[in-house]
Amino acid sequence: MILNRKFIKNKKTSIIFLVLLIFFFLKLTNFPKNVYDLLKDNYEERFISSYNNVFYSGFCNKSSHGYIYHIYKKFSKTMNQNSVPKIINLDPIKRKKPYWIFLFHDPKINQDEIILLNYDQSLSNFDLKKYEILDNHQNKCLFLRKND
Amino acid sequence: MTELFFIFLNLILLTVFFSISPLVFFKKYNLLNLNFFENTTTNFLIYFNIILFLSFLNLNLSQILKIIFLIFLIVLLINIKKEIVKYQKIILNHKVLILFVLFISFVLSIDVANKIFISWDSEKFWTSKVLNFYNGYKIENLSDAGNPHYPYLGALITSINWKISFIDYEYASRLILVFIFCYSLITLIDNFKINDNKKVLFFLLFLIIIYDYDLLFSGNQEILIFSFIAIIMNNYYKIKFIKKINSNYFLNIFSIILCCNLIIWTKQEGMFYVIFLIVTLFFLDRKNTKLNTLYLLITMSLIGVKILVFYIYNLEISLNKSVITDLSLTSLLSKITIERIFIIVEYLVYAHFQSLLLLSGLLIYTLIKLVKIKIQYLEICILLNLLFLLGVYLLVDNQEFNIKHGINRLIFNITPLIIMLYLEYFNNSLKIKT
Repeated sequence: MILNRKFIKNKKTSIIFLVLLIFFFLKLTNFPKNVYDLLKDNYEERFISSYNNVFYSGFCNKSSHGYIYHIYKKFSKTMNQNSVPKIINLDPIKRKKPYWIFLFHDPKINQDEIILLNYDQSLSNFDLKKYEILDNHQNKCLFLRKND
Repeated sequence: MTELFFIFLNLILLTVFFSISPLVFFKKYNLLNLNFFENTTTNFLIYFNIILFLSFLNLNLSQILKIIFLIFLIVLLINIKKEIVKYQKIILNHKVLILFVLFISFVLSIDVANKIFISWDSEKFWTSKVLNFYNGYKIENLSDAGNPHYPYLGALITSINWKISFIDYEYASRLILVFIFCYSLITLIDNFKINDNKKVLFFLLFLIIIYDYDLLFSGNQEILIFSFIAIIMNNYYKIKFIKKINSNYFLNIFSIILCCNLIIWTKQEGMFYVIFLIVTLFFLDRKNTKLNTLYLLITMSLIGVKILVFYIYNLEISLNKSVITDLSLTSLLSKITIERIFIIVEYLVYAHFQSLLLLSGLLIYTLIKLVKIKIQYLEICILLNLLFLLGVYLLVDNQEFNIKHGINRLIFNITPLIIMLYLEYFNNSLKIKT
């Protein structure tokens, strides 16, 4: 009888400990919030939000993954097949150019379409007059097409 | 809602696909009584090796998938009744553990689907290879993908999962890494001599200690090295208790060789890891020196096959030129200084405070020594890997930068060895008590 009580108490303790651990793990991985975000936001919104929290990027900051994805979603239908706009990043620190966002293998760079990142009108020599501005985010990130 | 459903479906499809063994044609395999997780991990080792071999034939992803599905259908149709009966029993006996692993895989997959971002290394080295296969190109096109001197197994496997999942987004490729990680970890934990409920506890504890999205699922290949080494550790633990050479022994060796081949094709340093792992076999299984020598020769030939394939497809053969530019003897010797050694020791000590598992592993090792448990094979393996770490960071250019950003990942590769310390201590302590 005593052994049975001890066994039940031990089993109850193990189950309680296991449940607590599961809750801790779900909190660690943010499971409830993740499920909510997955149901509420689409991929583009989650992508942009995710890269806003990454130290080497942001929406229109540093490597600007968010802005590049935004351009990809907005203009992919009008872009040439298997060619991608040229990415020019005017950040003083040398940044990677995430062409992978367009999901092509070894794509051709279309020199007539430019995604201009971290543009600062007062500091940059980049001549916008040669281009048509197709998208403008706070005059800092722009999508340009060369005038004919 | 649909994304959530497709993530769950992807997980179920992977579980069902890898639970049906292509080795069912061998009668002896059917008599081995592998548990569900061992069977699943052995199956994915076999299929990944088949996929790797098919890639050598310069086939694109669609062609590879057609062949794999054909193999799967043949295996399924021939043995469907036997498999259903066998798995009904296995699943009923371990339903708690199986359901729990599925649930945890789902939780981690949802985290991947939300975090989405890929690591700096993944962007630079691996994503272009994933896109190469995903867009229908072949191994011969990898020279255009950037960093052709890097192996491509991870890219091949993840691109396959991206293709077969119903999700068009890049993160779908990495969901298979969740599956591989969870199953390899539970395969190792299954060796603890406790009931299934307590195994769930241990699985959760190790997950809580190890889990870091950046390290595991942001596209780095270390997760695969970890998983394959975990499977090898499971095989080593089984071999330790096999008294004479039988089918069980050969299945474990077969699994080790398959893993070694996959490790060689995952990362460049994989070549060194497999040599250390096979050398460990000499200390684990001292009676069969001739057989162990044969396995070492087989492993060296697998490395030779890799070099040959790289040569045939004009992929660069080099030992990580991006971190060691000058491989001349004088340059390498000039890097062996006390100052550089101190920097490595400093970061190694610091790494212990960043990783709870590493710190606790040190404590467990002390306890093992106090109780005098014999784990020479494990000590040799850990020592070889630590010496390798020391050697790499001693000779690398931009030492402090590379060690700061890379040491945690190199240590993560050999984390299964630390879990083995727990396993050895725990199981031996139980033996002493009884």
